[in-house]
Amino acid sequence: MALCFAVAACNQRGGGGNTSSGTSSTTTISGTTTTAPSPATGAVTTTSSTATASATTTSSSVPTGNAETPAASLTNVATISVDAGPAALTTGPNAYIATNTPYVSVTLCAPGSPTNCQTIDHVLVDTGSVGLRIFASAIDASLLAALPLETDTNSNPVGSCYGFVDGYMFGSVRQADFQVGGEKVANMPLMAIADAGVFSTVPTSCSSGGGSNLTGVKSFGANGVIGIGVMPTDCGSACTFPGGYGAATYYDCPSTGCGAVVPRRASTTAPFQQLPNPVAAMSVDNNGSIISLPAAPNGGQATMTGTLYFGIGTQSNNGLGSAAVLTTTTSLSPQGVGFLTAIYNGVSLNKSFLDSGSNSYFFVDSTIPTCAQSQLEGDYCPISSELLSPTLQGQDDVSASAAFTLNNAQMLASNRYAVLPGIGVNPSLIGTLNAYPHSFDFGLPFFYGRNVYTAIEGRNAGGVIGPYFAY
Amino acid sequence: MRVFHFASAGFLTFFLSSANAQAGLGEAAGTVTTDGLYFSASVVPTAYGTYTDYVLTLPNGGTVDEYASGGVVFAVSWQTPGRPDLVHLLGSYFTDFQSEATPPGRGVRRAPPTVDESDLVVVSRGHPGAFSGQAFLRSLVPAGFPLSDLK
Repeated sequence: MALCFAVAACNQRGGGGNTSSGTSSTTTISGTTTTAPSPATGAVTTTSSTATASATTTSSSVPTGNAETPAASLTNVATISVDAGPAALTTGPNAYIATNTPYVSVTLCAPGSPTNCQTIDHVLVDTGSVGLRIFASAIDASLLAALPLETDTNSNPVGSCYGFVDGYMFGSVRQADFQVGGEKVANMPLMAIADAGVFSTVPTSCSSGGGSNLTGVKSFGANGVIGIGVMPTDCGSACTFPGGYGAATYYDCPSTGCGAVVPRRASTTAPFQQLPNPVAAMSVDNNGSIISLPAAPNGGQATMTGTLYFGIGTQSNNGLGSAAVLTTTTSLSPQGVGFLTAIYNGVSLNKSFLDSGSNSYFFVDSTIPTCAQSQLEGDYCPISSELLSPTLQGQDDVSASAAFTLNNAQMLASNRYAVLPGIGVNPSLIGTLNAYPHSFDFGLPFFYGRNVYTAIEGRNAGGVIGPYFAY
Repeated sequence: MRVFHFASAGFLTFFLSSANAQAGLGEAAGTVTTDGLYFSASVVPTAYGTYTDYVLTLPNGGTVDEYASGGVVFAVSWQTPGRPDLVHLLGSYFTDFQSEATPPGRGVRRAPPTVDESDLVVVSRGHPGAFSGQAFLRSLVPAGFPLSDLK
């Protein structure tokens, strides 16, 4: 079966910035066309009707464009592709097909240069992390050499560590003129993951969290990750004093090796120090983002395209409409930032979250059988698809249904599709202890057939101050 | 979260990192003080009869709990914005955790690591900005200790 390796080849309609239709079409390999729901018109227009953000495979009715903002000028969009992944995944030994992984292309230029640029495809769109991180191996050598290393008060290059739940990334902090869709940020810091020289040795305080050293495109599953979660910068106040660290750690990296942990300012405007949330650093449309993906049939489909909108309530294509707004825990919360409460089978799970960077639902339900195959260890294999009905609740006590159909993972996996709706994993392998007592992780399958809004902490997004998720 | 500023702690952290006694899971309860210094954390113990819960509060507002009974640390748990230093918290059990948490093929389907062995149990979850987890040794957990009390 032909798989779409390049976003351009798969994309049947560019960008989704046309408000007269406003939808991103998807053409699957089988020829079926589904349409993504479209966010409502934003605050700019006052008379148009509201498009509903419901899970539907039919064309959603969208208001006609506002004459003051013709379609061609709407640049706050980028195409999302859910496909088998970059070429490095599907070739060579241990080849595999990425599943439920949303990708976008980004463009990096040497600061101030209109020509020394590269468009990097298959960057993971991640609402669970913050900051742009690209594997050094995916950046052309001539461009990488022209991206200045960020330096500290010792005039030494700065290295950075960022931990994910299953591993860590370490690399240099460099600056680039960055563009995604029609939005640009000049001189934006990013991590060049697994960069060479002094950055090739990972400090022990970075690796001490355990898990995998995420050094390669193949093991990570993408050429990089664009983290557009609720934090404005990747570390916030935790990294602003000597020795301080939080979600990220910044290091002084002289030629003798990375050593001391150095403070970095949490700024979302130039001059930057920490890695900013790329959306927060945009000059406009910088209060959040929307992931809009069409629904998928229970049997899955080969690939899918959708739209990433920048800004909430800032343009005619990114209004909240009738979406339910669920505020999350803030960076002042003891349990951490970005959590909702999921209520499932009568139990409140207060460390739940929406995560486009997870490719499954992760939750515990011992009444549902798990798959027997070793390569699907922990995946749920219900005898037949079943409707599960968690509810999500925000800190603002707003509740919304998060019901979904759980499908049999083994049956879905056999199709070798990239889009697998309703895939669930039981992360608790321990019989006597519910090791996941407080958490329901809603991965990318939750996003199918929805417009999911992520609002940045402290930013007014459509009249509500972030952080919040809405759908 | 509240942020505690320990301006001199940076030096202390690196001075100790090269020469500190083994601390954490399975080690003597007295090593909790070592962990406190290493993490630049305040240490507040609370006794609960059969065990003591030592709460370490980190400069970034995260917390680590070390549970001791009979003078030995039998469990640790954490709730931190960044990943915790499991080399220190798991002590001699880190190697075990690491080999169990990164089985081959994991890169194909990334998932939160869990370890479920005859003695060592480790659960880790969360996302950047909000990590949590627990680890304990079945052989050392005091009788009647409610595992659901691990934060």
